[in-house]
Amino acid sequence: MTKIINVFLLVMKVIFLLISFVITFNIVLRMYDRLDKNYIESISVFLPYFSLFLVFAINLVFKQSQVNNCLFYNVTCCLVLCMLIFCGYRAMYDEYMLLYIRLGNYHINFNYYADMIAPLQVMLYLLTFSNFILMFTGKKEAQKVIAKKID
Amino acid sequence: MKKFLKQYFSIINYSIMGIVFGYAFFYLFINMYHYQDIRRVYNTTVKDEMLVKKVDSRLKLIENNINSFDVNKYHGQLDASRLNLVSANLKTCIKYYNNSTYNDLKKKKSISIIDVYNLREAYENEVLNGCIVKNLYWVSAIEKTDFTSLKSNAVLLSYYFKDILATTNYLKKDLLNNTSYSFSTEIFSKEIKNASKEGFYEVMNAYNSSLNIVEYISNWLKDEAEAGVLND
Repeated sequence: MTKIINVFLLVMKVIFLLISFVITFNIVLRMYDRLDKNYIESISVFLPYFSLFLVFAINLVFKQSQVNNCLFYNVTCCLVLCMLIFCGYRAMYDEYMLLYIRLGNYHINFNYYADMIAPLQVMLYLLTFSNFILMFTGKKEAQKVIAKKID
Repeated sequence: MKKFLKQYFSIINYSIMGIVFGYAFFYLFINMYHYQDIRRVYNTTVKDEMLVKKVDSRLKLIENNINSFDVNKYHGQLDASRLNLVSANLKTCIKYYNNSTYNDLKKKKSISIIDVYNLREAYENEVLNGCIVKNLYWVSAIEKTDFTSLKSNAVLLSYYFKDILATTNYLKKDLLNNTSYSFSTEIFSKEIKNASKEGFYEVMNAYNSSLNIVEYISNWLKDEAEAGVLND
């Protein structure tokens, strides 16, 4: 059962990461456009996404069971990324937050999202850091011993 | 030693994950709560509200006062064309007061925070800017005119104008601040202030009190009109 949940969470966290990246990319570029800032400066906002994506890729390519099968890590990742998507959704569609109406043309509540960015970035960096430590300290899946019955 | 360090880092790592988990959980749920909280509506039939009825009846009274002045029948001491201009100003004001946002709100049976915000914006743009500033603000600079009975109250009127122009500034800041939130939202909404309910009454009170000046000028116009017709 745990294995099935882990596989499910493994897939979901990659999908959530991509969705949250697209949402953040959309919001941050529009925010920079509004403030007339140089887009190059926005790279620092996306760095935690890239770093997390990189460690996810390493986990998958090298089949690191100590990370991929860590239920707590997978649940935490999904929770953080869910939160990111939810915040993005609110910034783009929640018109009951009146700044959304006030900010007009862009149809994004930049103030709300700007408040969110800092803690979210910290959480993504911490997840990357945890992933690294898990790579070296986590328990690897026990190799299956196939016993052959010798007649 | 290696095993000890491995265990030590493992403990630190799970602690970090625990903190991230807890913080994300808290953040997600407080966001969900806030999402629900700002959608709270105030259920009431708007057209049956006392303040709305009062504003409507006063608007009707002002309209009757304006209609009592007929430029062709006026033969008083004041310049009839200037009085006609005052009458036109007041008519324009009535149109601004009966703006579409206010009329649409009267059809509703529940008020959300968006309705309050739109009503306040209509109050600022239509009533304050359209009516008071563009059409009636000259009353506060009455020294330049020959309307003697208004002139005696000019100073008071100018204070009054300044007051009504700033009435809903605080409410605007308060409403726009609903993006931010804290633990006290629930208690604050129930015990101290429900933004939809209290905001509605605040704006309607501002509508009502801003009508004082319109009513005062319309009464003055009516008195002048009646005096002018009697002189005839």
